Amino acid sequence: MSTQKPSKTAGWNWFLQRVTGVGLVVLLGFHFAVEHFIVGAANVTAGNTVERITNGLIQGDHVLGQITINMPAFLYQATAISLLGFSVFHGMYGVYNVLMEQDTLRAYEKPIKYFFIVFSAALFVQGILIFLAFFEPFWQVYDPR
Amino acid sequence: MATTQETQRSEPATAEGKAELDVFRYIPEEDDEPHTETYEIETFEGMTVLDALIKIRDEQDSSLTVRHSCRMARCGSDAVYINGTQRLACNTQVSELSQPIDVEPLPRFDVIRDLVVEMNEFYDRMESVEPWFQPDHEPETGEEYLQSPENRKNIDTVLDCIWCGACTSSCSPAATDSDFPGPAALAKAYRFYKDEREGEETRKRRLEMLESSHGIYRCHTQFNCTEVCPKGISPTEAIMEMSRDAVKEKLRFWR
Ligand code: FES
Repeated sequence: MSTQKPSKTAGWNWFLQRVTGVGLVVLLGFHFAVEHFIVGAANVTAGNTVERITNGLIQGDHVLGQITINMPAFLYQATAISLLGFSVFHGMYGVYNVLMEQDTLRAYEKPIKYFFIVFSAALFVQGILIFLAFFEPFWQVYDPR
Repeated sequence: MATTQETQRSEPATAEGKAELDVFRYIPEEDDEPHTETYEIETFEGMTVLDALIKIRDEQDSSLTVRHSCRMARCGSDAVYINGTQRLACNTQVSELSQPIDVEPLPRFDVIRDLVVEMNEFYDRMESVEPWFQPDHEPETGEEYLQSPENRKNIDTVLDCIWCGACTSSCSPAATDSDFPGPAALAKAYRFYKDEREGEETRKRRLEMLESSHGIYRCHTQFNCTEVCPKGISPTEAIMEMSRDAVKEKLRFWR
């Protein structure tokens, strides 16, 4: 280690990996509760997804009986975007680390790192584009209904 | 066949006490490939795996090679892989193991011969954390660096390390990342990091030195090392404490 150069970002990344890990437990719990226990995976339609994302209206009669929750729209949207961001960071940084642990790949550290940065950014942007498609000025792009 | 006092000292506990051992064998000058040899031995009460191996060497196969010295879990020279776990052969009772007892050299270390592995890479890892006392300044009173009992208590747990290599052998990142010092070295780093006699300057420098993606942050928190340590040390907890401290220092960016 005395031969290693200290890293300025490694500590932050380690910290964020833990924060996003805890965040994912909460957000995925929420996601499963809504999609699998309230709405029911088979009943997820473009229509009720639009309702949830644009109005925060969660409605369903699946495992937990008839439930209607009217969340503030921004709060539901925040959970969706956080879930996207947290899972992209946590997943991609995790895979990157597993690769960087292999001595055989050490020679390609820089290209692998930049690939992951670009690929993660692309995944995030794609998620945001899909999210935006639920809102009026953009929905013709995808027309989710 | 060599017979040593070591074997003569031991009395079989019962006439029917027997154990079967499947022992990894590899003599580079003679064998193309490693192979397993099965030995049956008479056991006695309190027999350890090291006793069993010595008995085999004395009575059945004098070419069997195993490194050992103190026979009391102090020197750390006989860490081997017994029934799928890193353990000290001298500290493992034959009677506690399911049979046949599988004895192999420490995984992820190069085999020199039979159960003897090359330890130099492990010692290099240990040395990489500068495991020696580096005080910032001279002692304040007298000629001794006095340590408070509370501070001594902080490092009590990790002081018992006997450099056997069991933890490093069990650690998956240490197996694939040669820059990662591994659990034993990081526990040793913790021992000095927590020693307040070194002073704040050295403490900070030590932490910075360990702060790399191939340093403390490489730990997967799997606790494999903690599970196999024959001295009950938890390198994982030591590594996590240093990682948390390093991040806390970063979070206090306004200072
Ligand atoms: S022989 Fe010394 S620790 Fe086992």
